[in-house]
Amino acid sequence: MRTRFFILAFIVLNTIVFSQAPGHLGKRFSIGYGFHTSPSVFNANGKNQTIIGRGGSAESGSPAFNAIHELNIEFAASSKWLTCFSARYYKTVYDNAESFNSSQVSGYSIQSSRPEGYYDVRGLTYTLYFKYFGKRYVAPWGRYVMFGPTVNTVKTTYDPSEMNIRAYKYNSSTGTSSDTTLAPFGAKEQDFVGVNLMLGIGRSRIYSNRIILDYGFNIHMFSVLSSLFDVTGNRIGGSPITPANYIESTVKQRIRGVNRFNLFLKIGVLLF
Amino acid sequence: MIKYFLLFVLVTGTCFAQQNLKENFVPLKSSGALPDVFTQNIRNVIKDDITELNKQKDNNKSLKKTYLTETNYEIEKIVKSGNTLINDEITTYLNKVVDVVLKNNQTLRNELHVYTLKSPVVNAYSYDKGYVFINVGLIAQAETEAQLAYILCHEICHYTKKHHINGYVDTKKIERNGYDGKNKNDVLIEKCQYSKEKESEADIEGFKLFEQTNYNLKQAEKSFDVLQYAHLPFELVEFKKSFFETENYVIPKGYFLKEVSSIRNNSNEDDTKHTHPNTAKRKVSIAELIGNRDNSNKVDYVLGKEQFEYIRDLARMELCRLYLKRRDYPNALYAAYILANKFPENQYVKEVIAKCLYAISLHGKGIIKYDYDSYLENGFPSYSDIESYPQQLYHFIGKMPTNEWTIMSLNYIYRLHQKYPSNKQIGAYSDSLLKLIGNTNWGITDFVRVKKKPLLRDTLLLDSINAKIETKSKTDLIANLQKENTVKIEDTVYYKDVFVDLFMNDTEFVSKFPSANSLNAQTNAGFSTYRSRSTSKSKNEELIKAQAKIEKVLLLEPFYLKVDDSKPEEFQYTESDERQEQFITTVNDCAKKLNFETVTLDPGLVTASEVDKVNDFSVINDWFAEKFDANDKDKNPIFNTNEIDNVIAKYGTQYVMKIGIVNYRSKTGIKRTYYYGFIYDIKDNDIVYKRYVVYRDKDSKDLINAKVYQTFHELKHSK
Repeated sequence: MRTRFFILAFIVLNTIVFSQAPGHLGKRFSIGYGFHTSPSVFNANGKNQTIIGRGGSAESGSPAFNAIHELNIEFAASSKWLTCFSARYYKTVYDNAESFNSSQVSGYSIQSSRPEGYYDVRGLTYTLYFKYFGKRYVAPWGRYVMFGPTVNTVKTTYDPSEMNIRAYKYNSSTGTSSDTTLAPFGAKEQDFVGVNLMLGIGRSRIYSNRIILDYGFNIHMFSVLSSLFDVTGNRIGGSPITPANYIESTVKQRIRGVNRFNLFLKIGVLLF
Repeated sequence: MIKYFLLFVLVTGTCFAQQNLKENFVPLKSSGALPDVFTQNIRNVIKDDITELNKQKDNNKSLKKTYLTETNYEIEKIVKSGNTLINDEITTYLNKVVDVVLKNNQTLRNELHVYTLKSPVVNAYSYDKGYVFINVGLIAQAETEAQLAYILCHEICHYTKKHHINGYVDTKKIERNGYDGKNKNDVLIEKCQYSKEKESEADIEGFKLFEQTNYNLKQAEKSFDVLQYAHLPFELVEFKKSFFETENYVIPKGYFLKEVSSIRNNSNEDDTKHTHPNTAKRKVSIAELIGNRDNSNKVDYVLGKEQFEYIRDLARMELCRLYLKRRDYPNALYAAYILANKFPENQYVKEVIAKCLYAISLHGKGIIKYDYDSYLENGFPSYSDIESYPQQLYHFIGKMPTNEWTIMSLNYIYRLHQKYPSNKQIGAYSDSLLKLIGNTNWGITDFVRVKKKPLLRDTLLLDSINAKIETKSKTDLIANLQKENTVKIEDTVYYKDVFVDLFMNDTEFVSKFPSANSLNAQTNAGFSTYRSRSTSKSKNEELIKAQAKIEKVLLLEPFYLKVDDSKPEEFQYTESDERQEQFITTVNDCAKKLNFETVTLDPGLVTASEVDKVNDFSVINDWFAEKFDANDKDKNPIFNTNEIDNVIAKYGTQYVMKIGIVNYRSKTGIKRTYYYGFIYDIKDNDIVYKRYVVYRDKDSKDLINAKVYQTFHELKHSK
């Protein structure tokens, strides 16, 4: 349903302004690949490393970057506007840097409030966005600003043998405790969806009247606004993390980190 | 063979088809086959020249390579400027004179390319490659064929002595070495001294060549008088007010000086900072050479006095047009006045006078303006700066109030309109002047519409008062100024009978003449229909979007200039040339992609047989030269419009596009790229499309493609 809505919106918006579109030498439609990267600043990196070191709950000061791959289609709707659609994919892990409230696991004596191991994160972000080219430029060539709503879909998976909680189980009949591992994190595969608003500035150049080289940066507004919470470690909403909502709570933080600020370099081909 | 025969017939036919100057004058045109300079690839020419230079032993190869690059482009620029005449009557005549001068030196003759340059400046130039350019202004001033011959000899010797290339090399050396321990003034003096030596050498060597001919040697000396008095008109004729008077219109004497100033003799002026020796020195040097040489049987004319005078008259007629192009209306008026004495029925001359009168009216009304971009930077010169008879005209222009000038102009122009009713321009000027009168509502009720007794008393009264204005004591001046105030009330009387015969006999005049209450809003309607456009303007961009549907444009010499301070001078020429070629292709490709029709008018892209395109380019270029003779370019009225209609009809469009790129890179790496695309309606004198953008960027292909395509797209989709 969501996909249908995007396609419909794309067609309608372009039809309105189709007759004014010049494109580059008449070529209006392009497809491209983009690479986004962001420096890991606030516990955004999967290994909890950070480019500025000791940020948030970072354990290491090693420089680290996130990577996102993108496929996009763009259409010069007028001499100033491009209507674009992109799908960005990223694959990362969350190495369980956050602690949960240990008191929430009854019957067990928790050895560590941080789960062992990590869980995998696969994100797919759909964005319908618009590029507005500066006064002196002609879409798709020149400097532009862009904006548009994004839908972040995330799938997380974890392996209980990797991601677990070490605990002592007390045997009342023997009066002894034994080591054990727990994985009370819900289903092994979990899906999450969120929305955001993307803003960006870029510059595109065209070579041989066919190849588009596009570079700039973008931010996700809600991720930026929530930075303060992420830095201080406070959770939005304030509800405590439990093993049951551990993935849901931490993956959102992780997604915000990935999308907060990205530099990008795209290469595209003007088709027709 | 047949082709060459036809070409010969065409060229010679042009030579013999003389204009009937008693009736009219058709502006000079190039004809016949275009010379190689139009068709050859300049980069190959430069390459060949440098290869030739490399074969020689020379210590100044580096400087000479730069010279060869610069000069080849400079010559190409002059020849293709639209101002150079090829195979026209004057150029053909000049070449005949050169034939006479070099009849015993055919080798040298074959090396020379002599052309006429449409410039009012009294000057001639020669280049190292045998190109000699003689300005129309010089031909108009020459007194005899022999004088022209000597001037040509002088220029030929500049070529044979390689003054141009040696001058370039030596001047550069002076500049390079000169500033060590010297101030700029000393360097300038040194350069001028060097130049004067070369000029003196050309004078002497030119004379040696000249004396081998049958021309009167004394004319060589007299030719310096032509240069000495080049600032004066080609003839000195008393300017009489009766020229503009009619039976019922007598101009008060008070507008005229009792006597004009004498001509200053500055032949022996200080020439320390001049490139040429002063004329007194030059004359002495030639007089010494003439000495006791046998000058008997020598003549002023070899080709004939009649032919010379005809050619000179052509130059003088053309000169009027060139003055108009510069918006130098007083000079054009005086030149036309002189010609009107010789050719009283010449329609062209009358038209020039009409244009000048009308233009001066518009100037008085503030419609025509001058600024720092104008040839007449400070407007019309004051009469006190003018010598001799022309001073009378400048005084007249300065003293007569604008409204009265408008009446006088209308009187002249309307009667011309009666005589040439099919001449649309004269009709338009006449209508516009009537509207000017209507607009000011000035004196409308004063005009007498039925004939009565002559107004001798009024005229005498005004004359007697004005005559006293020349007195200089302070109290007299005050008294006169007071009287002048009274005169201003009464002075409406002297012209009130001016149109009486028209009111009585000309229904068209009566119908067009404004009534007392009909205040017209438009002052110059019917002539210059400039309309204000909504302009989007910012520091880096200016845009006027086309309001009318434009389907075809004349593409006027697409322009590309690349300036890079960090690279050698010649880079600018070659790189710009290469980029210009690519740019022309880009422009045409973009137009083609959008099915937008363009016709490129570029003297750099013509074949030898396309002389018509060169002429058409020249017509349009003249139009632009006149239009751009002020900072407020969009509003300049154009007077050189006679041939524009033919160009419009020929190409089927009234829209001319000027498009170009200028790229600059400083030594520190600062980059700027300027793009402009303008479209002018040459019929209505209007700018219909304008896009001007500045980028802090290099002139990348995507930038150029995007902007050019955008321009054509906007034109294609204009409403």
